[in-house]
Amino acid sequence: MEQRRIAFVGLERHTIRACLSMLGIMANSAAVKWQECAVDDADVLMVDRHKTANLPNNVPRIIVHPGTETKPSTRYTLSRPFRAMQLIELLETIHEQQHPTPVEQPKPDADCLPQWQHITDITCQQPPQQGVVPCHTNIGTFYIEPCTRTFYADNNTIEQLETTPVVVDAIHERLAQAPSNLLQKPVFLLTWHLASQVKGLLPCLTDVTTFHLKRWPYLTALPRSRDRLTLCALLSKKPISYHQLNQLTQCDSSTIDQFLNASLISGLLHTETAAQPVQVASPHKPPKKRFGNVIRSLRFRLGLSS
Amino acid sequence: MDTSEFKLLFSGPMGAGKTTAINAISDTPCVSTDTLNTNRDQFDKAFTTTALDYGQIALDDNNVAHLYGTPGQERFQFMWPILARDAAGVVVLLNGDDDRMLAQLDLYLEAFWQNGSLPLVIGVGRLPEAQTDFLLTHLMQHLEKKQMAAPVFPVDVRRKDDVLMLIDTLLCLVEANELMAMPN
Repeated sequence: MEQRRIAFVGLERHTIRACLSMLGIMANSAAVKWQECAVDDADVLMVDRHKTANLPNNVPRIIVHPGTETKPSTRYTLSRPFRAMQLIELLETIHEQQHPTPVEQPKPDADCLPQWQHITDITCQQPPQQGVVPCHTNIGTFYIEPCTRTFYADNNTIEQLETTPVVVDAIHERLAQAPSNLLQKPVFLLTWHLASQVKGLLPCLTDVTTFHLKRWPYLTALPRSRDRLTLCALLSKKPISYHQLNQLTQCDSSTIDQFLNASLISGLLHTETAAQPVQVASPHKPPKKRFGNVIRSLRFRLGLSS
Repeated sequence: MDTSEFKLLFSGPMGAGKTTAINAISDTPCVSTDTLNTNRDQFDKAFTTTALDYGQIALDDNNVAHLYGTPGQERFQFMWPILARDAAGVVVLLNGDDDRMLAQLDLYLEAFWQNGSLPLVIGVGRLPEAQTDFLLTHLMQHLEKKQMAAPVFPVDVRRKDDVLMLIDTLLCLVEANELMAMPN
């Protein structure tokens, strides 16, 4: 029987007991046994809607809210009171999304996920680590320097990034500095290519309400792309939800997913899970554009029309 | 709309390439107010802009995009807010080989950032080849510490494509402002 771990945050003891009891009963008919554990060890968190601060971003969470309140804008929610089957179905959905079947998901994705998490942990650590972290891949070694959000690699390895899907083999202990004669590049260049192998958002982003760029990625390392510029422009203005990004950019979902995944792994993304999304005009009622068609016309004159 | 208001501003210290950048995209040669440079300590070139540069790009429906360049000397700082009034966005050009680059950046951010409401893009020229990534990384870290998420690009303003990259990015920021209904 498969073992999975769940942690409860901010919920009353009787609610926790009820949940564990539901899960225990269901374990008899399902092939999964759920066990209560600490937050840091959990596969899934069940969280009171007012206790979402300071929780790890990499663990999917179910937000529990009273049925009398508005439903929070997060992906996984349960409204109290809920039935055992609702809880089980939600846990199965989360598990499916975290561990997609091999037929639906390319192999590198499933293989890489824990390593991605490891790279994210390296780039997001506060205060940033000094030194470099060697990251061995199928195309060569990248020495990630968290405090500058850059990496070092030889020219051949960097060139292969463009042509070969990268699979991270192992991440080793930190070194004081990278070997000499390597080129220094922005970590976004590496994470952009890594992110191209993932379908959908990384699990830790699936229940995020709003995204905001802490700083622009260093885009010069990649070919010029209007989509990336537009995503950066919107995400650097103020926190914005996935739905709003989709509406405002007209980018396809895979581009948005790749950009958000790469930004997260690079440590450039600030996410919120509990805040209400910003209010923007709906697509049915477009905002008044001060500059009308002038921008389109200027792009055309300058040869920038996409 | 009143097209006289579609104005893009080019700012930055002396010698950063504001006049060159405007000339790269303007329909007409830049109208400059160059005089003999009496401040060769700040930047060693024979002529410099003392009031403003002006260029323009004719658009459909008799619209015009106006391109203004600010004078580079800090003593003309009083003109910056005047020129920035009603601007759609600002291109800040910096000299990458100047030790005072970060201090100069702060000066221009103080003048134009306006809590992020005015679209702003930063181009850094004259970067020593061996230090390009190091200097730009340092500059971006500086911006992040100040919680200013502004785009930064290495540029050679003599290359039209580099100037177009800055303008394309600036236009994306202007559009983002409009889409998110943020007054600028």
